[in-house]
Amino acid sequence: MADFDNLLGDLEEETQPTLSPSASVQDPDTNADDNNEQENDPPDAGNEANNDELNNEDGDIIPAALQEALLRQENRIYDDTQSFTQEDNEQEAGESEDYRALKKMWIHELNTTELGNYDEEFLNDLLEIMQNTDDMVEDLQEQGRTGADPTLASIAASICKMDFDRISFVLSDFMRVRLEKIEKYTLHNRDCHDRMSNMEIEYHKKYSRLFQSHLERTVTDNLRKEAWRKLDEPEMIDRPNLDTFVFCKVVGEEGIVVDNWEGMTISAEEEEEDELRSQPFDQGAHIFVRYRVVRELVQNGKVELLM
Amino acid sequence: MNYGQRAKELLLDLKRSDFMPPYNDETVRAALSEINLHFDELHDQAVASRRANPGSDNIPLNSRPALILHDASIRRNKRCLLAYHAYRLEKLKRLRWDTAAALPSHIKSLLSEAEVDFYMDYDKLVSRFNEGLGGLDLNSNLQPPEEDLIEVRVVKAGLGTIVTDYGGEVSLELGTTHFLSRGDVEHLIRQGALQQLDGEETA
Repeated sequence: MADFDNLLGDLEEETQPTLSPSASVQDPDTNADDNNEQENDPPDAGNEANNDELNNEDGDIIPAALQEALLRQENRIYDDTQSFTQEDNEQEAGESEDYRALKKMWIHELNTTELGNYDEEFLNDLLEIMQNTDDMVEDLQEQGRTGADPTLASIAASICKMDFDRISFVLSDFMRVRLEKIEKYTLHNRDCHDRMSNMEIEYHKKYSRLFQSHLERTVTDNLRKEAWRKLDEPEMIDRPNLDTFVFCKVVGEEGIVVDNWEGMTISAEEEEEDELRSQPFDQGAHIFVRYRVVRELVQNGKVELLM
Repeated sequence: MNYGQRAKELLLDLKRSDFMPPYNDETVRAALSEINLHFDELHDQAVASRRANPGSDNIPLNSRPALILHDASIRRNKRCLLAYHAYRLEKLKRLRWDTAAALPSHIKSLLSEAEVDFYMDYDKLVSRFNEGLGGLDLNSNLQPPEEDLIEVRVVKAGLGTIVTDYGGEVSLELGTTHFLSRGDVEHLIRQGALQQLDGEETA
């Protein structure tokens, strides 16, 4: 989720000079309102902190609770700038763990032709979080219409909504890609039930029954001999193509060793040139290989697929 | 000797058409009867060679090519027929995911009965999966969200008024332009009732 304190904190700092002293008079009222709501809601903490800064500017007497909130916000900003330098350049400060993990799973599904593993717990948690965010957005929109501080609440509402949209897009695209793979390789996926969630298993069974009965009705039922009615002979099954090329990055600490000839038949002479077969790569290396070669490593988490 | 011609015709039909040709019931039936003819031939050949060599299980070498030929053409016809039907099903599925609507009548006239049934059942299947997810609609959010509010122009008459997320009512008369949140209008854009303006148009 977006880190609200920082977002709203930045906003406040830019607009501070233009805020009139009369704005600070309203603050005790809105603070009272915010304090009545749940402590966990980040926008509320952000609101409190912003109002703190207003108070500081005007030099009014600051209640003890607000002083605490101000200290909390300052510490959080300090912590985040520290972690910012430690994180990768590509990642923005404030992206939550959940979102990053979801994004990684999504990119993985997009890049492989076979079905990836399904983390049931994680995705159920995400669905719950999304519902909560949805409620929060509606709440904020209500506040925006009728609350004491409408502009701030509606800005918070639209930011929250954008975040919600972003997560819901990634989540629904993830589900859609998986459904597409389930449908495309129906016969092959009969053996892959351990990688699907319960709902997907049900979907797969119903879909394959539907598809099969349609084909039977239109084609095979009209054939005479039993032997020709089969729809799932081994050569008739579409298997996902594991030889597509993928971009990946090595994340395992000790680096990896890649056997480049995996899955290919080797002639007698080349078998002797052992050095060319396995190639070591250090951590942080970016490589472009056939998926089959790194399949095991991806499943162990030592190699990460890139967009 | 034109084994497999009918089946090839079916596939060429698919290739030549834009979305889908009308279901070619005749040719499908012709291909199926061709398979049955092959089967009869095959059966006769097998019986005849069995009779010519009583007491041995092996089929004599000089009658094998005929059997192999008939078997191969049966498989070929079957494969073409299955491909024809599977391709049409793929198109129907894509239609369902793109529009999430009931079958429009101009498409319904292109389909066979079995395909109409398939569309209904597939629609039900996907809708039930959607409901099971609870709150996440797989048919919205087809594109990554770029902006929150977009500008749209009404191109279809008779849409009436809609209520936006934020609670205001917007009346959609033909030719008017509005600046609305994406979630409200996305499904209307997909149906073609609204046109998205990207700010580059002049006047």
